[in-house]
Amino acid sequence: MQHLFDIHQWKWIASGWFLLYGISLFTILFCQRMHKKHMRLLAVAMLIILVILMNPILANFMIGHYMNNAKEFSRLGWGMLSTPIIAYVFTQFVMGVDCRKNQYVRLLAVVAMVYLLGSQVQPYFTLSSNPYKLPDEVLEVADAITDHASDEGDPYKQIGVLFPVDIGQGTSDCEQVFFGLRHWDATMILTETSLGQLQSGEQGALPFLLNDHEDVEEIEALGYKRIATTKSCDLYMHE
Amino acid sequence: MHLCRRTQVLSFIEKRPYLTYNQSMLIIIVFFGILPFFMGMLLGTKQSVAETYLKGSLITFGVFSLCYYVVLLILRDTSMVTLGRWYQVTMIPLLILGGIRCFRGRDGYHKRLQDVVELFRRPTIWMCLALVLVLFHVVRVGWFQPFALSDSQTYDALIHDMAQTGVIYGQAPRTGQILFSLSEVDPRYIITSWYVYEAYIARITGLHALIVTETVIPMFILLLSYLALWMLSECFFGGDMDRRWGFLFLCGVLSEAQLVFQDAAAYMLIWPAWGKNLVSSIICPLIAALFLRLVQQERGAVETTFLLALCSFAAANASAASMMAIPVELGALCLVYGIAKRRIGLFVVSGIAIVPIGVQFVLYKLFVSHLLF
Repeated sequence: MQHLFDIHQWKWIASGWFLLYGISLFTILFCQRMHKKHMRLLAVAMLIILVILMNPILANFMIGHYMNNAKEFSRLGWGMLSTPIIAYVFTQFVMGVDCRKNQYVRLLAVVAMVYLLGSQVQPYFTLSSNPYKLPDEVLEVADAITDHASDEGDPYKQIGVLFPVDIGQGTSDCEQVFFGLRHWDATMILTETSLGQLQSGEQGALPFLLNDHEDVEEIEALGYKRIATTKSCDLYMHE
Repeated sequence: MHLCRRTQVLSFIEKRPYLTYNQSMLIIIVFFGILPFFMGMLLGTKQSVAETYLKGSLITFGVFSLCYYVVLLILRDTSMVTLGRWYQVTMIPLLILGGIRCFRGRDGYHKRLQDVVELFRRPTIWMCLALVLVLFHVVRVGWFQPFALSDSQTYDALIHDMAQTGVIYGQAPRTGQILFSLSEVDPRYIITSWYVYEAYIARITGLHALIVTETVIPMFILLLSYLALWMLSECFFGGDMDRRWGFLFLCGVLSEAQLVFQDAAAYMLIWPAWGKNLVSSIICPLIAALFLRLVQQERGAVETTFLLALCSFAAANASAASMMAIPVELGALCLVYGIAKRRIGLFVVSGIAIVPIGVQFVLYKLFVSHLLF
């Protein structure tokens, strides 16, 4: 059951959408006058895919043997065309009357219902400050590294990273700098390390260090000099 | 292959002379605006403008994927320069053929273009609503950036490394460490050529890979998503243009309201350049549209089989998850329609269309078993 719940979370999140999809399939299947035969057959095909997706035995087997998690299994539902099916039913509902005014009233009712169902408001977009869509501080750090890097020998720039970087959404400022440097220049090699490893000399002296405004004295005691400071990070170079 | 890999990677850190802004824009216009039309003409000159463009875009990607396999598996080369040359050598004769077909069918095509112009001369409310929403989505994805990176952490790094160094999967995406063998690469990336394709586009346009992956390609892919929905609307509503525009508008509204999901709607509107979005927002609706057309018109089986196989091939090269999604979708469609219409031919069509997915699965297994690299 946990797998089915996880699949449901990945595919629908809000149960209202699942209900809406179910109602749409139901109206296509059983409101015979409104919908042509080929649409009813399409609804049956979508129902088959839905049953496969929400099949507990198959889900347990596939997730246990071939996949890591329910998110991967939920991608089986891409063929379900949930958005076009719901949009088709709504279109038939809105256009089901001849009077234009009534059509617009029905459209407003549909749009209002849709937004009530999807009522979670999150900031999905921000205005970009440069054509690369990178935070400005990434470019500041990259410029500082490029200005201080040696032109001789290995073109790759070894940069130690002292703050934790989780494989998540990549939303924290420090994580954005970490991934931004990788996206900006292929010659920047980022090594996640710690003060303990640097102090013990395990990794040798990395030419550059990136940290989040902490442990300044300990870093400078290792022979590093701060060469740039941004909103979330300090950049150090080994002297 | 891995013995000289470090030398190969280092030798490609050249200071590539970037093109001027005007040159880059010209290449973008040709590659995204003109090339798909000529390639779409290879499949016939009697289809609509939107359909020509959509199919041409898929053929352009499909040809690249074929060249990718030839270069990687047969020539055992990981150079993007070699891949680029193979692609150009393959595309030039196809383009010439497409151009000849365009010239020969110019009268019919001229009339279809006139119909499109006529359509825009007499806009209806539904058409305006749909076009405004599509324009809003395209402009937003072009000018604004997603708040969360999510899988772009990996994909953008992969693409940029390949674009800058000219080596296919030469570095680990997270750290940038040089990979000495392709067996160190995640198998899901090796068997898909989509990210290599994006890196190739970045190289030929002369733009930084981030501009291509975060602005140019997302706008192009989002447009293709709506074209696929437009083709699906023809199967749903026939020639009723008001319903077709209303359907397109409501698809946009539903996708916008489903932005809370990490699923098809989120891929389409927030991260369109991902391979996952190519499958979920373009290829899955297109497969349904082609299948419905075959059932409704009861002709054109050969062409539809080829197009379905092309869609499967493109899906297999866009995302490894298509190895599961496409067979399930095609299987459900052929099972229901084949039994209801008593047409065994539909099973044959679906079986042939699934072959690229089967080949992809075999390649995946060979790679995971270290029999390829």
